[in-house]
Amino acid sequence: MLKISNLSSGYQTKEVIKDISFTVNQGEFVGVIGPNGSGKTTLFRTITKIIPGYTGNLLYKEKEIRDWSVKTLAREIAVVPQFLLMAFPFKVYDFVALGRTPYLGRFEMISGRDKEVIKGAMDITGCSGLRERMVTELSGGELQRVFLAQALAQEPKLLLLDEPTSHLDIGHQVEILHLLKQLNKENGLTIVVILHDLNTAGEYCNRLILMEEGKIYKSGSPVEVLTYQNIEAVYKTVVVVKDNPISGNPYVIPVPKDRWETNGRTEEPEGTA
Amino acid sequence: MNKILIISLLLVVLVGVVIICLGIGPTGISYKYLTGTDNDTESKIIYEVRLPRILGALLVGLGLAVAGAVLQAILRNPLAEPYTLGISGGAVLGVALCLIVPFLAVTKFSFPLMAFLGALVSVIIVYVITSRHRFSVSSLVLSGVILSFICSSLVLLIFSVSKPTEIQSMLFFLMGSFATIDYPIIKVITIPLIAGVLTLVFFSRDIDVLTLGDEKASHLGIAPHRVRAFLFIITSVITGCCVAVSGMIGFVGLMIPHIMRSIVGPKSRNLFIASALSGAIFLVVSDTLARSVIAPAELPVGVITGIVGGVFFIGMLINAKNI
Amino acid sequence: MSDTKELRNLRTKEQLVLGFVLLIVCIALVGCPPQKNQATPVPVSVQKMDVVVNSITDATGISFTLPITSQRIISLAPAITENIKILNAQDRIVGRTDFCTGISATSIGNLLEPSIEKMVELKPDLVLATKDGNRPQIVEKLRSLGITVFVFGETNSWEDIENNFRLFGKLLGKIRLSEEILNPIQNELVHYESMYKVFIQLNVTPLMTAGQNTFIDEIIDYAGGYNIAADSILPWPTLNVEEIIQRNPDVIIISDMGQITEQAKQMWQQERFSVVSAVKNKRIYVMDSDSLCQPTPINFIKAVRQMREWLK
Repeated sequence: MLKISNLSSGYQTKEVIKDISFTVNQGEFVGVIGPNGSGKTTLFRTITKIIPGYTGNLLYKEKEIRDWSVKTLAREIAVVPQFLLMAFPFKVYDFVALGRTPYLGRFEMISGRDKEVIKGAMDITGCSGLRERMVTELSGGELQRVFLAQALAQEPKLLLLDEPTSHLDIGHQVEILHLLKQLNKENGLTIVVILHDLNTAGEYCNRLILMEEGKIYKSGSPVEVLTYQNIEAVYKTVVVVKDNPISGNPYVIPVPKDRWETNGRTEEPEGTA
Repeated sequence: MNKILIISLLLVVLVGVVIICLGIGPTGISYKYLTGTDNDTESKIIYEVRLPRILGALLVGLGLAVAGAVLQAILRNPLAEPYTLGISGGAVLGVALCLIVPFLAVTKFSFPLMAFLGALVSVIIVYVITSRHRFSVSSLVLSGVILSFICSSLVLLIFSVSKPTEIQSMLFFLMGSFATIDYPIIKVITIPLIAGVLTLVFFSRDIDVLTLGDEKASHLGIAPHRVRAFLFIITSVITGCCVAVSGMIGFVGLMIPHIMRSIVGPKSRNLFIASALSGAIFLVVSDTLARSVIAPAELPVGVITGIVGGVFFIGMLINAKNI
Repeated sequence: MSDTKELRNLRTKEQLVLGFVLLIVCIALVGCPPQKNQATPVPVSVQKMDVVVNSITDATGISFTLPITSQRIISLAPAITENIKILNAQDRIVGRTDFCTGISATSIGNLLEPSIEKMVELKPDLVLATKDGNRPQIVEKLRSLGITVFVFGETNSWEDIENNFRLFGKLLGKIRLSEEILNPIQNELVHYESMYKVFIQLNVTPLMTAGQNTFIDEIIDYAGGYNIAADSILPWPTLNVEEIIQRNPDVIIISDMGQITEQAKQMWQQERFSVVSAVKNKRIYVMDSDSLCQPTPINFIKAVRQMREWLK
């Protein structure tokens, strides 16, 4: 679906992404991880044309992103942000309904089909009960579900999520990620999600891309990527990686800095001050 | 459906208000005209003096309210109003120039024409400046505010070398009035104004999307800067028409959308239609008050909208829940 | 790059729409021709006294054929009312402004925002307005309703006042009376040698006075004074305090502005003005503001006489 080779992009003052290449196939659940500033959000912005230019190849469905129009791309790719500017107190239903915008011309009104899609999106995400509430009154967890519903109303083939759970409590985190996993397995939705929490990433994604300073450090299955060597090299902190006793997926345990020596490491990881 | 009920109600009230206000004026309240009147003077007053005023107030109220609603949405600020983007400064300067450049004040269309041209020049200046910043919200607001300041300084300069009576005359323009409105000018502005308002209603969805931020708007398939530029031009044309007809009437563009938003919600399509209707009602009533309250003297209608509007607004503020 | 091409195409589209909108507006504006100035039809009713078939032009360039019906007059300025009173025709006034005093006609509001409705109701056959006191839009609106409006030009000199008064005479059918009133006044208006420097004060903040090209300046001139603000290009300049002190007027005349007159008198007692000749010699006088604000021949000569007294 998404084929990236030798992609470089960034902002006027700085090139952030430096010559990366990877592929995302249909049906995958890919997690993008890496320290702050490693280029994860910039990558998303390049894919969704927020950043207007790039060098290299960035193909979605065999066509360069620069050749896609914003409107037709919006029917294919949907983005779930972490936060949104909500200047006015829209009702949840109306808010989710805005997800149908890529399909509606200026003189068209919402059709029966559109209403079905909206309802479906709200049902899947469990927002039906929030229909008449105002978006400005929702809690973090509810809001994230509503954002997701709006994105799903776009009927996307590829769903991008930018740190959807970083600000949620553990209960809501699990809820959202479980939902995503279902969408991926049962509806075949291709998902690429930026995650902060390595354990969540290891648990839910079937492939991980670890970024560092605009380059891909390692890409592969969670077991392959989440090794203590990789993590220590990229994040510059000591960790221990074990297996999650229930699921068998890798589980990363951070080691407090004052215990670095007693943990059997005599030297500090590369690059620490 | 709640919204449809409210809008139908507003429509009915508008028609009612027009009929009632046609019968009210400094020469008395009478509804004989409804059954046809053979009194020549009375019919002249109703159809040549009051009706143009009511039509003018209807159109201007409608235009300012929708322009205000749109600007509040695209600037993502419930305190924005049609004059925020500097159009008023240009219009006032245009009219002030009539005072010192004698040949400009020749025809009866001079004031409205100069007001409109002044507004147009402001729009062009703001457009050029903000086009270099992708019509971002902050660039729009900044250039609008700065242009307003420059224009008002120039106007004050003109004031300082003008005769006192000329200054008074201009002040009346600044405060807004329908006292001398005529059918010709109503005919001139009706088409651009209604066309502009309809266009804005068709852009309702785009406008709703814009309130979510530029990035989200892009994600939903809308080019935010292009749409903002276009909407800016349309609202400027509408505001320019309104200012040309009746001077600067304040508060309508700020208050009506604000109030309507708490009644019908922020969804643009409903909001614009409700604002248009209530703006028209409000201004027709205000103008009726302006010509009747201290009869035979006339108050500038901007005074009524300011005071009545302001008091109402304060009441709302006191009772507001989310501030 | 399809992206920028798309952007360019769409920009062109948007420009086209903008151009189209502007075009509609321009066509609408241009397509509405300004109404031709129609000469108002005037009945040829014969007045009792003077039967002189003539035509006069008002300050907006419209000509009126004399004699003209003027039995139901609306006056839109106090100065107009005063002139009519002088010609003893005030009972013909059916409508007046709030500021016109001494007659019992219905009020139609103030100068800038008179009530059009009320005026229509009074069924006037002649409305009298001034160029600098009343808004042109009011005149236009009245004319578009078929009402005869005569606009008097600015009164910047005695000649203007005189000419306007003659126009009053013609409009009211009192030409002989107007000449009888004017003659003695003209004889009195002999030019005196300018003996004293005069500063005439019209306001406190701003410190406004009358420059050249005003009838007040001429009053001073006829009275034998020299207006220290005569070289100003603005007709109603705000004089700099420095200038006043430097020019050292011999006589200061304050136009009576009600409460503000006290403020004005006190202002002159300030330390910085103690060097001014008028202050030192206590030659500060207060003049009734009506004579200075309502330009009629009678007021003019009254003001001149008063000032001549003070300038002796």
